[in-house]
Amino acid sequence: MRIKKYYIVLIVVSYFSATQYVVAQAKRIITLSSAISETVNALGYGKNILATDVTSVWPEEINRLPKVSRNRSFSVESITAYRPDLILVPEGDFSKENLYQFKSLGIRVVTIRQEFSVQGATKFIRQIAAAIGDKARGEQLAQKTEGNINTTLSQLKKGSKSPKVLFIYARGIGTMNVAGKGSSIDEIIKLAGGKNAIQEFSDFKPYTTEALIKSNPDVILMFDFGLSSLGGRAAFLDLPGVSYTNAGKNKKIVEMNGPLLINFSNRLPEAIKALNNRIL
Amino acid sequence: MKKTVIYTCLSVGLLASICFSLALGAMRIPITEVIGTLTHAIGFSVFGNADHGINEGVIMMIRLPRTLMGVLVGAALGISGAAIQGIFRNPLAEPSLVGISAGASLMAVLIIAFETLLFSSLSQLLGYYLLAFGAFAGAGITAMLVYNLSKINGQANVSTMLLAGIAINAMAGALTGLVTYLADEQKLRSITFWMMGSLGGATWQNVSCLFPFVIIPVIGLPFLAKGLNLFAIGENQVELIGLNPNRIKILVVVLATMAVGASVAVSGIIGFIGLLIPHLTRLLGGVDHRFVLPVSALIGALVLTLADMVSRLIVQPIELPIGVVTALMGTPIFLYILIKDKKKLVN
Repeated sequence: MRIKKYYIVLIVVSYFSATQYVVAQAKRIITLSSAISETVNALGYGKNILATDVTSVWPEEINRLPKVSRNRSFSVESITAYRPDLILVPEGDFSKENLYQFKSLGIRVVTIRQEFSVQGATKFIRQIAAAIGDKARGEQLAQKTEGNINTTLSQLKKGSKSPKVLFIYARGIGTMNVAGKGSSIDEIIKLAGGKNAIQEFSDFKPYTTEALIKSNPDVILMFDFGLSSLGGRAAFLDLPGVSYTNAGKNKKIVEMNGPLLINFSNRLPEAIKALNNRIL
Repeated sequence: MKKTVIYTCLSVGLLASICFSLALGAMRIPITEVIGTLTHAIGFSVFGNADHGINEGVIMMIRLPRTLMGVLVGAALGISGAAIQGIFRNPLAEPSLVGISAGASLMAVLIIAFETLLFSSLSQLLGYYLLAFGAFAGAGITAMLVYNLSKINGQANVSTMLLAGIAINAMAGALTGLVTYLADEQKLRSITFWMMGSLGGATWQNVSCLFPFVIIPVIGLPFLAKGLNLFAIGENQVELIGLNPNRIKILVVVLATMAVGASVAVSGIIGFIGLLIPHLTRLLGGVDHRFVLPVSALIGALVLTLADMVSRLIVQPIELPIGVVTALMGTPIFLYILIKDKKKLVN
């Protein structure tokens, strides 16, 4: 009798420890940011992605997938309906309640923290590969990316002095924010050989005309959809204050693809190169 | 007789909407399986046993708590709306219009923003209670403030009350805006959630936390119905039959803000329910508070369950903020009541 009891305990314990430590390779993945979707795709698991968030628009086969999250609003049940075995989500996008809900449904959620640096990019790739259960390919892609970054950085165009770049995140006139220190944009500008025009604050803060004139950037950088939301290049140059800046005088308004600029993963070398080409 | 019919119809309607809410969603789950899972959970077995898989999980861990939260929040907003309209003797006094919801959410936002600063070691459950209690305190403070501001010679003045409500709404909005400048991105998201309203975060944990805060007012407020009826004639009438008007006032405000505060704490601000439901109730069966209070709770629960269903189903796979749905459904009905009453006044 007593032996039987121990036997059962043993089976239960070994069952749980087995499920705990052997992470099966994820087959049905939901990716909830553009950088995560692109990285999973680059790791060769694009066909395992079932659905993404609204910002995952590159490449085309990812863009075609259903979008289950829009501006971080989503429904737990809609995501569950895809019967995923892994959800990859940027840290902080799921509330405590959401994490608890997925946990009680037995769906594995891995929150990915993204650091905006060269080291951060390779760490990001390794983290995602580990979550999928293919560390080998993660190592491969991380090393390849790191090599490409180093090559890119050594081949950058260099000006007489590094240009002051002001990034404006625009969603139409009235909703414009500028990037401060420590943001993803701040880091990519530095990597591409520029200098962020805003040094007074961190993260993103609302745009004001006077702050624009005071910072006097050599280049104004925007996402492509940001510039079109303001009515295009000509309309932007006509905004109050723009003509008083070096960027306005020289018509140095640069637009970049959003997901590429803030990818900070496998496409970081490409982003550095493209931005460097346009600001110098 | 008529009242019995209304009670029966509404109860059946509420039950039906609960069933639909459990049966419909982004996951296609056959109705037989829904019934099987639910009956299995309470110990019976119909249509064979539940599959113990993801379908059961969705029904038991996602849909059931969410539906229950809709019922509780709807009942809370409906009955507090009716009670507050009674105590203010004004059909426009609604938790969100006179600033009670704004007070609750401001307090909640403050707690979220300064949580890590002040109470770094809060456990999750205690955190819920703290939020609920904070929102309750915020609601109570604003209710008292608005009531006292609007009192002229012991009578609550309608226009002063509304203006005070507008002022407090603006103030709370401004302070919330100020806090959002101090908050980081993650906190900002929880703050946006408070302003929009959603039942999407329902878990057994927060539903069980909400339960006592709603059930006590829903049971307690109807006992004050007689007093509220006398209030409608005038405060001195209450004294004439030997009741203490101040005690009734305080009890109503405490119970109503308790329900509203806790609801706001778990689901954010959901507008229009508190204003609209009591009007709808009076349209059905007159102004007697012994009828208006319990039926407002019933209709509130019914309407919010339906609204949540709409918010989940019409823009799949994402969902619409429930506040958008209640305002879209509520405004036309409210305008209809307004026009109808206007005709009555002319005749």
